[in-house]
Amino acid sequence: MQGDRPLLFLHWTWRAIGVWATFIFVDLSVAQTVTETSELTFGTASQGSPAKVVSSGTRENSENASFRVDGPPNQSFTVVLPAGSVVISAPVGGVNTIEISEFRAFPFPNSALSRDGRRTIFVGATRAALATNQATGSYAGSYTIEILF
Amino acid sequence: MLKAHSKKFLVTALLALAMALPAQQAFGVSGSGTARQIVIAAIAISNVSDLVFPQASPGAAAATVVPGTAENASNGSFNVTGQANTAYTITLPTTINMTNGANTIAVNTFVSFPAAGANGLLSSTGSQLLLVGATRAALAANQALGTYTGTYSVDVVY
Repeated sequence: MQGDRPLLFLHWTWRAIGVWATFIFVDLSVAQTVTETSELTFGTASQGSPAKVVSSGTRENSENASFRVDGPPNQSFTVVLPAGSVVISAPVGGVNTIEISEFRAFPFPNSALSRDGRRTIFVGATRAALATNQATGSYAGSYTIEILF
Repeated sequence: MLKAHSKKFLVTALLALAMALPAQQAFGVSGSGTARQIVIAAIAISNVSDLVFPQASPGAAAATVVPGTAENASNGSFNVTGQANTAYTITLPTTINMTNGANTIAVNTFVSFPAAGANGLLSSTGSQLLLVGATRAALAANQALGTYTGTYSVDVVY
């Protein structure tokens, strides 16, 4: 009977792999994604303007950013924002960068997907004061938010 | 006995699997977003010419200098500069005093061209001539003779 053990082990191992593979398949079919649905917009400001705060808000507005999180129904997750600051820039010469910092979000940091497997995250941040010789133009830059499931 | 051992191993294996499964599922996904800011030139205003009321005698009636639509010898004028093709708002004073020592003459009813309010518009080169007129109060019969001056402020903001 001692010789049965390796055979039994193999049998159950394969069965276990079968179960495992099924779980992986189910996971792929409801893959988690984060998609930006609106940009973080600080609007128009003149040279020398003081710092501007865009709050995360609790619903969509003309300034805050929004991201759609999709995944398995009711799955909980944690929002991770950019730790420091990011820089947005304009394709012109001179003082052509602006620092964006103090990212904030709602809900934050913990949340869960709805029964439909969806949740919208609103994001705000602080735009640094503009230099009096800040180059005029349209500034843009990207930042990344991470969702940990 | 051996079978029991096998079952024990099976349970151990499944438990290990069950513990491994959530560990495999814990992961993060990233989303990239864009932040935007439009920067325009600061607005500035500088005085070009003084608002000048014509010479008058004590007891003279109130006198008005109209802003007109072009620079002249009487109206006050300012050069407003900033972002090309951008509207701005003009705010005028209500009343100021011109003085000559301890003697005063009030100036009120300031009027501008473009008119006060959100009526300024910088040109395609980012400038506009702002003209100002006002009304000088009637002079007292015993108004002290001399030259009266005072300052007034015109505010412009996008």
